[in-house]
Amino acid sequence: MKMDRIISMGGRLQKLLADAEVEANKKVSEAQNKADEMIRTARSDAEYRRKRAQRGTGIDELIAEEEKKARKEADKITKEYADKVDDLRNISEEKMNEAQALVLGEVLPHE
Amino acid sequence: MSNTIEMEAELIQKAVNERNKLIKEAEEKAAKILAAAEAEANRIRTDNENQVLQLVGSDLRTVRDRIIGQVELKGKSDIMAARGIMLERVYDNTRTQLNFIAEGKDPNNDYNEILEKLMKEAVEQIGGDDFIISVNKRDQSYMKSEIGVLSFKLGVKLRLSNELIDVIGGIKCTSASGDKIYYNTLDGRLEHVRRIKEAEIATKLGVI
Repeated sequence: MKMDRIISMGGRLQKLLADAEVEANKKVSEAQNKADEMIRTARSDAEYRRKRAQRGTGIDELIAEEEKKARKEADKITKEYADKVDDLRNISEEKMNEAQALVLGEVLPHE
Repeated sequence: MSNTIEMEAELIQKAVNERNKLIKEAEEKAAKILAAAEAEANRIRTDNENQVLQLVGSDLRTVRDRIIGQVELKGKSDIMAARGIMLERVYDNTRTQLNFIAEGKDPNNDYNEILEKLMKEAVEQIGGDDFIISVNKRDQSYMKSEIGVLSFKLGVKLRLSNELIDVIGGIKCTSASGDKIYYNTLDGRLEHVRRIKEAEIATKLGVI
């Protein structure tokens, strides 16, 4: 009687393991399918974009992005130049006098 | 009886552990597969992005060059303009000071001495011993009274012309034959300095 019970339970446990193996295989298989799909989609998107770029179409977004980037850079450059212009306009009196003395010294005759 | 139960419990636990291990290993393998796929998809996207950028690169460069080029050009032009304004201010101030000197108002610079030096320089440059001197209206009367003294000092014959020159100061020296003329005016000298010394002056100002 005891032996029967153990054998019966052994069968149930084997089934449990077999089911687990099926479940595990399913998880791996699903992941593999999902991975294959991800790569397939990435490849097909890439191919689509490449072909459109080759035809010169569909690049509006890229150009708009580049334009936006360039405008941002341009703003920075404009500010840098404006700062330089400010610096130039605010030359110290001392430097102005030095430059003026240099010119005057060259203009006036020497012995 | 209790031995049997213990044996059963042990079998169940082993089976459950084995099951959990199988599921856990499968989940780990699945996560690895997905992570690898994600990395591969990212690589494909990055490669594609580069390919597309190569294909449309010249268009993008044109857009960038147009926008950046415009501001660079304007910025450089603004710098040049500001630099020009500051240099002009130096020349204007110098011109004002030269006027001040020529009017005899600068105690540090004797204009009559300056005039004499300008004349000596001109006479030496032309060569010879007979010259006609022209000056501006303000210097005319001084020259009339001093031309003899100056002739003596320089050891040449100087004659004052009635022609008036429109300058801050200085002289126009002409050989008696009229074939050689030397302009030694303050205005001309200032222009000459401006032409040849601009870089040096800009450096002095710190605007180069």
